[in-house]
Amino acid sequence: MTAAERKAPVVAVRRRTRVQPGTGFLAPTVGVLFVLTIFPFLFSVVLSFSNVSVTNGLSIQFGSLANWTQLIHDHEFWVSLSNTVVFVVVAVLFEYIIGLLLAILLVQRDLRGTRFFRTVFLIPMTLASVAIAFTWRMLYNPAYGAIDAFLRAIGINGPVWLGNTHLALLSIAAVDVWEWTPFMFLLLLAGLQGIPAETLEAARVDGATWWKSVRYIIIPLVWPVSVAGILLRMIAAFQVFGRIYVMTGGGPGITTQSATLYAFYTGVTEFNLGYGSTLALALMVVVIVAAMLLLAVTRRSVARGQI
Amino acid sequence: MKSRWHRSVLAQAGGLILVTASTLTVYAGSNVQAASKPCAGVTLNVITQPPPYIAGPVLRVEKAWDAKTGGKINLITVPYSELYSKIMTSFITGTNSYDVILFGSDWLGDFYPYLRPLNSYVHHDPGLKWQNILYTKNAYWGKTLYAMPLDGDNMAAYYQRSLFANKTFQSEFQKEFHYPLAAPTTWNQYLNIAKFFDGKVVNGHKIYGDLGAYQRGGQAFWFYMAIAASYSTLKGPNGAPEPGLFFNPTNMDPLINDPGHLAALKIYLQLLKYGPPGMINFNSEDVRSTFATGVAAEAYDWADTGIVADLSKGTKVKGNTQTIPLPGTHRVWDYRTNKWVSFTTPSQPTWLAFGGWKGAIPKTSLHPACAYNFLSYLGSPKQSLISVTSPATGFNPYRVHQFTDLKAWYKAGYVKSDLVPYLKVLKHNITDPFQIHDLAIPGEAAYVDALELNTSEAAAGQETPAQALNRTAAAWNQITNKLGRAKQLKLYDEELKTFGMSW
Repeated sequence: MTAAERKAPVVAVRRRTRVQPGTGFLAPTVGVLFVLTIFPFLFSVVLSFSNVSVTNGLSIQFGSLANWTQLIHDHEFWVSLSNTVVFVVVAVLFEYIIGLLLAILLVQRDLRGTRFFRTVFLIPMTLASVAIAFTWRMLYNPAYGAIDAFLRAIGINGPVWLGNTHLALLSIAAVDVWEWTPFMFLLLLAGLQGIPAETLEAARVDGATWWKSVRYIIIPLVWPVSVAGILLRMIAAFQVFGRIYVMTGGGPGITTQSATLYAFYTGVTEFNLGYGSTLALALMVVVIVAAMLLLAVTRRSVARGQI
Repeated sequence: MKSRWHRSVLAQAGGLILVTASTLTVYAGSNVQAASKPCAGVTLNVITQPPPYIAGPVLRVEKAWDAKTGGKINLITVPYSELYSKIMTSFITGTNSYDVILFGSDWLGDFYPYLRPLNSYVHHDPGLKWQNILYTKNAYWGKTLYAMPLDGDNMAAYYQRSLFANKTFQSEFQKEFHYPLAAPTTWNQYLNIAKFFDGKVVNGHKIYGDLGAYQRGGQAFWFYMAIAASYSTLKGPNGAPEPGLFFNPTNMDPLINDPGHLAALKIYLQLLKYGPPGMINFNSEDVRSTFATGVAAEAYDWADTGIVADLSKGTKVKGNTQTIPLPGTHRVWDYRTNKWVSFTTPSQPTWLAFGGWKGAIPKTSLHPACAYNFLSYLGSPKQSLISVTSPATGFNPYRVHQFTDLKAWYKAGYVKSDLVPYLKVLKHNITDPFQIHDLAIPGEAAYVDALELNTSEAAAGQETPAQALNRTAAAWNQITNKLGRAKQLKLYDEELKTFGMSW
């Protein structure tokens, strides 16, 4: 083998690994991403494994599991997490069911006023979340709120929606359903419009009932869209903060306190940066696990032909 | 030729003189302007909470201060719940983000190492009329002045005068409780009044007994402490209170779960039963706005309830609001002897809750003179009078003339029958030697949150009152240990000495 032959493959490898022209243009984006996302995330991880003190300057002593040990034994964290899970399940489930029913109703082209209703249903989603929370807080007010006033007018003594330990979380979840059902409706409507009319027509000719058409044709065919919608809403619902902060502040007691609100109280109000970071990271892990579970269940169902 | 040369030289010399003279005039003028506009070209970064409260007065004086000094104000606002951490972050990272901070006095224990002393500024500022300020103790840490008082926060009780003057109610009350219906001087009397009026029908509408804040993060801490202050604090030999409210000053053990605090929590929780439905989620703003609707017989709160009662749009209690000092107790728990001490006349300390908003200058400010100039202007006798008599500023009276210049109050829309008792009680609160100052040591926010968490759980029935206070004590110990017990003890000792408390 000549010297030239020995060198040849090396040249080829170099050509293959050469930096593509224009890669440098990515640098600003990568830089911004690093500064605003990757660095804060890594810093949070460092803080969660550190003893952090802010009296007389910031002092970070890395290499401590104290925050994670505290998390395991923290009753308030587990209550907050279970509140969050209940909120997510209730809100996303109802958003999906109501969104699907509305989409099925309004996908029918022969129905009058569908365009009007499609527009009207989108209104809640376009409003500011904090404004919605304030409005509903007023609506739920037992003394001068419209809901209880209406109930009193028809002879019913309404409950204290946000002051009742059993009802407060569900009342807040109902507001989430009101605001975000249009999002689910929009996605599912797009999915339904993609189903060939002949398929449903054929099912009808074969004698399928409305429920059977929904169960065996519509749901399986819109399932990819459904998974995307549920996943997006689930991730957003896990992060619920402003709505609860405005409507109840986490009360009565901590019955409506979400994990993010707890992290906020700990990290921002108490300025306990180490434990606040630990709470935020713990929630992130929970969200990732929940998303993976949903995707795994979906994949298995598809593989078994259940969907 | 020569004469032309002379004319040319003369013309040039004349021109030079003119240019020099005009330059000197402009220069002298600019010097005069520099002297009269000492902050020309300076922009001050001022941080506080969003308007209308606290930031409102800043926005009001901004233009006038600019015209006077040539300086500009860059107002930065963050929600109250994030204000502490925002300011603290700038301190611990050493950035010179702010020239002026407007903050709650309770945070002075955390902030003072990062603040510029103001003693010499105030000493050379006769226009400020420092001696005119009634309320300065909590602007100091030790003997160093770190903050400019802008507000006179303290708590009082309020009731609807017409309800107490009603003959039918008077006789029914006498019949039920065997003593006349009158302004309550004890918390038990306050509770009885709430119980009595709850559910009564006035002018065809059902009314509620009382109003208070119970929401975590909604100032519940100060509402509970308003009651606990009288059950746990004895008057010392010099007339000042002894430190029975927060910690044992010899070892930093929490006093929060002693029988005095427990009795107070029981009253606080019973009062919840006689408030409007949903009061469990009330914050202090709900208290004052609800009182103005006339649906409650009595309330206790900061001085803001009195303002909202007279100045808010659509108020139903204007001319009908009586302000009284916070009720007291006939027995006070002595943490040193572990015994109740009884009194024939109720012990009624005043509660300087939160301690008022203050202005301060961080050490890192590049324009401390202008920053002081702005604070001095904002807190000047003239501007402060406008602030305390205007609605929704968050500033309450704290200077002598604010209690005597009644014309300014009437001009703002107050009614004499409401105003006179209102000012009398507020002045009593901030001049009474038996005044209890708020907690101001590092970690204050964490101590506050721990108590609010547990009292709100007790209010929701998820904990018994004793459990709530025991858990608070455990949390307070944990916070103290984390921050360093010896260090906290030293700072608490300094705070008590600053406030002139005796033990």
